[in-house]
Amino acid sequence: MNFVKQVWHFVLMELRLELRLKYAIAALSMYVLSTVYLVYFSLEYQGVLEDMEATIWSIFFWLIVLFTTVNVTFQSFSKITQGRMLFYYTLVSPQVFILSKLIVNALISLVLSIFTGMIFIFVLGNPINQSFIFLLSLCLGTVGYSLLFTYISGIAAKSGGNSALAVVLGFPLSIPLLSIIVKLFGESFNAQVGLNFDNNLLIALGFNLIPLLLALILFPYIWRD
Amino acid sequence: MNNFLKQYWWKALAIVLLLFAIIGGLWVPLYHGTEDLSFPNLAILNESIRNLLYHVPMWFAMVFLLLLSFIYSISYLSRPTIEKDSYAAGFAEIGILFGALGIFTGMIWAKSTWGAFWTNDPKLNGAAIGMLIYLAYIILRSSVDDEVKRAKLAASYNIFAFVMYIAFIFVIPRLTDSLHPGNGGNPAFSSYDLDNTLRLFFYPATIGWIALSMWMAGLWIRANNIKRKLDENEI
Amino acid sequence: MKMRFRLVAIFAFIFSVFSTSYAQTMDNYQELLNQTDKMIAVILVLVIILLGIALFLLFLEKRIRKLEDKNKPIE
Repeated sequence: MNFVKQVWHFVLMELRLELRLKYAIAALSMYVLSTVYLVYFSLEYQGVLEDMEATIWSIFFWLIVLFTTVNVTFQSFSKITQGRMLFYYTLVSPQVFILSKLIVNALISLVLSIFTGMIFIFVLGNPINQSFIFLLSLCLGTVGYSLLFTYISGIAAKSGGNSALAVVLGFPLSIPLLSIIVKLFGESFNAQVGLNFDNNLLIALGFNLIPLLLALILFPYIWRD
Repeated sequence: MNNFLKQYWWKALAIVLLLFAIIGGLWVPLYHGTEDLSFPNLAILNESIRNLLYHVPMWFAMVFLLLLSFIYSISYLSRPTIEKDSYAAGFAEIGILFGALGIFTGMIWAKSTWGAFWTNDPKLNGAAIGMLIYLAYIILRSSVDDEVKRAKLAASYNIFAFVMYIAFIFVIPRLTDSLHPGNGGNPAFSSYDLDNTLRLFFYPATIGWIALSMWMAGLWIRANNIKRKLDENEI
Repeated sequence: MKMRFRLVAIFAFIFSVFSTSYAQTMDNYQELLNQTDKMIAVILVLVIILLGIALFLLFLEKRIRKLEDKNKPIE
């Protein structure tokens, strides 16, 4: 109970800090907006926007979500100053710290990816036939990415590297989840779900759970310098 | 482990077994109806079946080395010593070498049987992703200067990556058809069509390649350890 | 630097084992097999390469052992 309460308060505090720095959220939203428009204009210029296939839609969507998630998770670690880290050491256990980081990052990237999805529907058209599947796979994919990249960003930030290191470390590991999620996501363009849907859903859930458990187990070893 | 790496008997065994596998693997003819000692004569594979003695054992050697690296990483986190870190790093590096060799042999085999060096096959992609993951591991190591910090971060990444990778390897090929034997209605090599003759050479080749990879990894690790000690003495 | 060069050398050696063995599997392997003399040549080359690798590793082993013994007292 104490653990849950601690996590809850920590999450609230993190969210409050995040919202107080309005420019951070605004910058991420701008990041999403300008990338979507970049995609829009490049497609428009090529003249493929009118009869664009849904797969292109989903590819661009997931690439943007991927990069946004990396940015969200990396900045959540890189902005922590040495002094604040010392404060955390004395205040909470590493599990509480990483769990609340995971939750906060998942929430923020979820909000951003839903935002991305909305702009995509406005700007690039709406190929979605089953909105429930769309939302489900969007949630699973975004949360899975943010779980994975939160831990990877923790490592990258500890090593004193930049966000490029987080990308290098994380992208190979994100391919498995990506391949499953794109499959699930593609189902939402069809009128009905395919044969292996349940199976794929379970695997996607598994790829959400594995990084979560590993992060909880491994983070205590790396969080003190 | 340190003592084991210094022993000679298994290195000699490796060379003897590999000699046996190379000579035998090329000497034994394919089955044409009369031979007593022969390899199975399969439709698409034909003579290239002999690659079984190189390609598959090399993957085994890679997985074996990466597993050792994983174990040393776990043991580093529970009881840190700098030796364990150098073991984990060395095994992973030679593991990548054998992974690359596995990819090369596989590509040549793919060219002669499937018609292209690279096909969109889940196992191939899995192998490529594995290489990427472990190259990232090396980059992570080289980006941290502090020895203890490097060991800690590398160990935690190694464990994370290995578990994700194994999950991927076991799950993904079941999702889509694979050109590899035993998947998606391909003529199964299941139990490798291992008829007894092939098995006679396959098992020695496996043990031989794994032992050779261990020898190389051992030398690499010991050389690195000496280098580290010399550096420390200089300081 | 030297160490790295050696690793590349090992790699090149092993790769050459395969490239030679596959050059043979590509065409007219059947005929080659029947002309046993040539088969012996192929096998011989491979065996020599393997033994070369073994000798090279043995050479490294000896040198590393020497260095290890030399560095022991300082520990």
